[in-house]
Amino acid sequence: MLLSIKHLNVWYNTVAGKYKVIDDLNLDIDQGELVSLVGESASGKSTLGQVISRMLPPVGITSGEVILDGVDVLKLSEKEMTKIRGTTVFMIFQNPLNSLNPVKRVEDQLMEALAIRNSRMNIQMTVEEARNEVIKALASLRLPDPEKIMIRYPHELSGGQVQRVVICMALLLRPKLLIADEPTTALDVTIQAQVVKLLKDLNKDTKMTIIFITHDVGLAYVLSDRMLVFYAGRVMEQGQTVEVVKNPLHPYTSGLLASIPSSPKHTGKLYSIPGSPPSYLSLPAGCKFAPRCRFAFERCFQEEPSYIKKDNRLIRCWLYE
Amino acid sequence: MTEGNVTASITERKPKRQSRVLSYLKIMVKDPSAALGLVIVVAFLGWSVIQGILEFLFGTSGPAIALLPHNPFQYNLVVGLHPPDSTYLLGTNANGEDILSRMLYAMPRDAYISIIVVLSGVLLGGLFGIIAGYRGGYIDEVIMRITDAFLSLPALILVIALSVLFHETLGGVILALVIVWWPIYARFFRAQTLRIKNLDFVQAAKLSNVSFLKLFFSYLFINSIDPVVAYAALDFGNVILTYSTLAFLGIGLEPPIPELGSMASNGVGTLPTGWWYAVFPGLAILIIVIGFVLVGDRMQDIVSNRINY
Amino acid sequence: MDSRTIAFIIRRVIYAIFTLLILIVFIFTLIHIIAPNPLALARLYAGNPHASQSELIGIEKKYGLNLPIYDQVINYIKDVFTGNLGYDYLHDQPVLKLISEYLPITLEFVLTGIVLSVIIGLFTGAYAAARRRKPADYTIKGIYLATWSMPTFLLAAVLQLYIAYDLKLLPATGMVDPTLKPPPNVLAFPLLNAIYAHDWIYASSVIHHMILPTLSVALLSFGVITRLTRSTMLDIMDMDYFRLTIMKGIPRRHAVYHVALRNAAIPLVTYIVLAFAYAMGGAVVIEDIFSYHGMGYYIVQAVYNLDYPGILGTTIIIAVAVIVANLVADILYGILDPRVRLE
Repeated sequence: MLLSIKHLNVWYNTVAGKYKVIDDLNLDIDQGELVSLVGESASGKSTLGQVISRMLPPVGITSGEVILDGVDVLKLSEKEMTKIRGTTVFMIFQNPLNSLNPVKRVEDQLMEALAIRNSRMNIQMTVEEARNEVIKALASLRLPDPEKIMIRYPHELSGGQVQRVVICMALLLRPKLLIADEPTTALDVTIQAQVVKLLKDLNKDTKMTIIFITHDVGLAYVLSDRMLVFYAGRVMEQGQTVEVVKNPLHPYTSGLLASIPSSPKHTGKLYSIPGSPPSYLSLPAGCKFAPRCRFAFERCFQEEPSYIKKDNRLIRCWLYE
Repeated sequence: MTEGNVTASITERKPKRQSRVLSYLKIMVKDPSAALGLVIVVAFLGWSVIQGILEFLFGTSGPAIALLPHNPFQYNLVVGLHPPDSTYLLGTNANGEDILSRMLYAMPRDAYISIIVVLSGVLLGGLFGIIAGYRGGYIDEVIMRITDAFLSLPALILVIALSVLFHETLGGVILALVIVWWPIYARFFRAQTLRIKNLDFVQAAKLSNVSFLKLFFSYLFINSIDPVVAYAALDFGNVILTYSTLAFLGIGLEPPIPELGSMASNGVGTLPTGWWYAVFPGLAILIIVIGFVLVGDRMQDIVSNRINY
Repeated sequence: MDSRTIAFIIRRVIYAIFTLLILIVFIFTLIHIIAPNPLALARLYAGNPHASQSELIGIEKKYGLNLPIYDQVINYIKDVFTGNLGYDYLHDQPVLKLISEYLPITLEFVLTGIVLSVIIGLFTGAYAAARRRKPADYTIKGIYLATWSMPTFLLAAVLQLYIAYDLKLLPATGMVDPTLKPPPNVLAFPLLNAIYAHDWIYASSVIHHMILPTLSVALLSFGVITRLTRSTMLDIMDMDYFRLTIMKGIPRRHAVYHVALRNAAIPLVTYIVLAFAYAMGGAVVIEDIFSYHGMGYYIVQAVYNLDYPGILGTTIIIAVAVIVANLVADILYGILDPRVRLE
C-alpha cells in the first residue's frame, strides 16, 4: 500500500467563516495504480492533492490520517516534509504559463530536479552525465530538439512544451506518487491527448503511481484504473473506472456522464444536471446533492448518507441501502 | 495543522443577504488594525464636521471655540513655550497659545481639503479614464501619455511649483493639488473600463440606445468604483500629508487660522527647547494618516480578494 | 544586443522625450493663463515683485514675450532643451548655474539614502512575505505603515531632536564645519571633492553632517520599498512556479530567498525610481530642517520670494532627473526580464 487515507476532514478557516471542504474521505492506493479524481471545480478534488503534498494554504485545517509510504504526512514537520517532496510525492499544476521559473533556463530547472534525486539516492554524477540524462529524458517525451529546448527561457516555449518540461521533471525525480492537478486543462485538445498519453506511458513503463485530477470524465475514462467522483467535498462514488462509467450508481455520476456528448450513456440531446453546485458556506442539510437529484426522497433531505458498499464500489446514496 | 473537534454546525450556517457596503464593513472590523483605523477616521471626520460647522458659522470666536479646552487665539506671554502639563495638555507655543486647542481648530481644514481633492480626483480621473478606456485609439494614447507625464514627476515638487504660480493662496494650493491628483484615478478607471466594456451588460445597454451619460455613470463609472474606493480611502492620507508639507513650507496659509504643518514648522524653530511644539502637530498628522492607511490597506485586500489568507 | 532590444530602448527614449514635452507645454500653458499679457509675463519672468518698468520691458524684449504664441512655445521648448532655464534676478545668476551647484548636494544624500533603504527594504520585505501572518510580518508591516504615514518634517525633527540635541551624537544643522576650508570644486559633489583632494578632515565633517539627512531619506523610502517588495513577493509565492519549486523538494527558505526574491527584484528597479521621486520631494523639507543648502533650500528660497524662474527651473530639472531615472529603470527592466520586450 503506497497511500492510505483514513477519515480525512479538511476545513478552511477564512474571514467569511469556517467551512468544510473535504468530509470523511477514505482512500487506499497501491503501488503502480492510476487513480483519477473527478468533479466540478471547487468540489474538493484539488484540495485532496494539496493535503497529500502538504501544499494546503495556511487557512486549511485537517484531521485524520494520510499515510504515504509508511508515514503520516499530516504529522510531519515542514522540514521533514521537504525531504519527501519531489522523490516520494510530486505534484504538477494546471497553468503551464507560470509553471516554470521565468528567470531561469529550462536546463537549470531540470538539472536542479535531477540533483535533488541524486543527492537523496546518493548517486554521484558529473555535470556531463547529468546533462545527458536530462536530454535523454526530454527526448523520451518526444520533445523535438531537446538541446535547443534546454537553453530556452520558459516564455519562449509553448504551453504544451512547458507542460512536457514539467512532466520531464517528474521523470527525473521519479516520485513514488505523482499528483497531476488538471495538467491538460489549459492546453489544446490535440496536445491534451499527447500529455495524457505521456502520463499513461509513465505509469506503465516506470510503475509510477499517479493521481490524476480532472473535471473531464472522458479523460479519466481513457486514463485511469480507478475513479473517485467528488461533489461538494464528498466522494459520492468510488470504484473501477470501467465499471463506474459503464454502470454509474450514484445519480450525480450518471448526471455527469450524461452531460458528456461522447459518453456511452449519451442519448442524442445535450443534458445538464439542473441547478448549480452549492456554496460551501450554505450547504444543504442531508445529502449535499439532494436538491438537484431526480431520485431524492424525504430521507435524503434530512440525513447525510455515509459510505455504502455495493458491487465492489463505495457510494454515498440512500438509494442503495 | 491538525484539529479534530470542529462541529459541523458551523459549516452549515446560511449567510444573510446584506448590502455590499455593510458586508465590507463587517469584514473590515474583523481585522483589529483596520478597526483601529476606522475608529481614527471616524473620530477625525466626526470632529471635523462638528467643529467645521461651528467655524464656518462663527469664525474665530464664540461658539467656534467653545468645544476647545482653551481659546486658541489667546496670547498669554507669561506661559510662552510652557511644557505639557494638566492645564495645557500638549503645552503652549511661544505666544502662550494652547497647542491642543490650535490643533483641534486646524483639523477641519485638513478634512475638507482632502475630501475636495480626492473627490475631484475621482471625478476628473473617472471622466478622462473612462473616455480613454472606452474610446481607445489616439484619444486613449494622448490621455495616457499625459497621465504618464504627471505620474512620473514627484507630486510634491509639482504641487509646490503650481502653488507658487497660483500666488500661494489656499485656493491656489487646492487647485494645484486637484491638478496633480487626478491622473492616478484616470489610470484606475481606464483599466476597469477596459475590463468591463466588452461585458454583456454594457454591450446590451449600448444596443438598447441608452444615452451616453447614463452609460457613463450607471454602467461604466459605478462598475469601476470598487478598487478606486479602496485606493481613495488611503489617498485621503496622502493629500493630508502633502497639504501639511506645503503648510510647513508656509504655502497656502491664512493667518491667524492655525495649520498643523505650519505649527510644526514654527515648532522646529524652537528646537531643542520647545520639542512639544514641533512634535505634537506632526504626531497628529501621523495618527490621522495611519487611520486612513489602515482602512485603505484593508479595503484593497478586500476588493482584490486577498482576505482569505 | 539584438534588434528587438534596440527597438525597445528607442521606443522608451521617445516616450521619455514626449513626457518632458508634455510637461513643458503644460507649464507654458499655465504661465500664459496666469499672465495673459506680455507685461504680466515679464513680471513673472523677473522673479522680483519690485522690478522697474524699464527692467520689465528689457525682459519682454529678451524673451520675445510679445511674439505670437506659437513662436513662444517653440522658443520655450528650445530654451529648455538647450539648458536655458532663465535668469534668477534674486541671486543674479542663470538658473541653470545655480541648479548645477545645488543639485549634486541634494543628490549626494538622497541617493545614499535610497541605496540604504533598498538594501534594507528588500530584505525586510522578503522576510515579511516569508513570515506572512506571523508576528514578524505584523511588526514589519507596522513599521512600514508608520514610516509611510509619517510627515517628513516629523521624522526629520524627531531625528534632529533625539540624535543631535539629546544625545549630541551628530551636528543638528549645516553641511560642514564652517571653520574648515573647502577643497577645490572638481567633481561638484562636496564629499567626492574632499575625497578627491584627500582632505579627510573635511570629508569626515561632511559625512557627519550628512548622516541625519541621509537617514531621513532612508526611513522615508523604506516604507515604499518594503511594502512593494512584500506584495510582489506574495504575488510570486502564489505562482505555480514557486509552488513547483517547493514541490521539487527545495527547502522553503531557499525557495523564498533564491527563487521568489530573485523574481521580485526585477520590478524593484521601478520601485527605486518611485522612491527616488518621493525622496526628491521629501528633500525639500529635510534640507529645510537640517539647514542643508541643496536643491530643497533653493526651492524654499524661491517659494518665499515668489521667484518664478527659480521654481520653474528646479521643477523642470527634477522632472528631467526623474524621467531619466525612469528611462534607465525601464531599460534595465527590459534587459533583466526578457518577457517585457514581447509586449
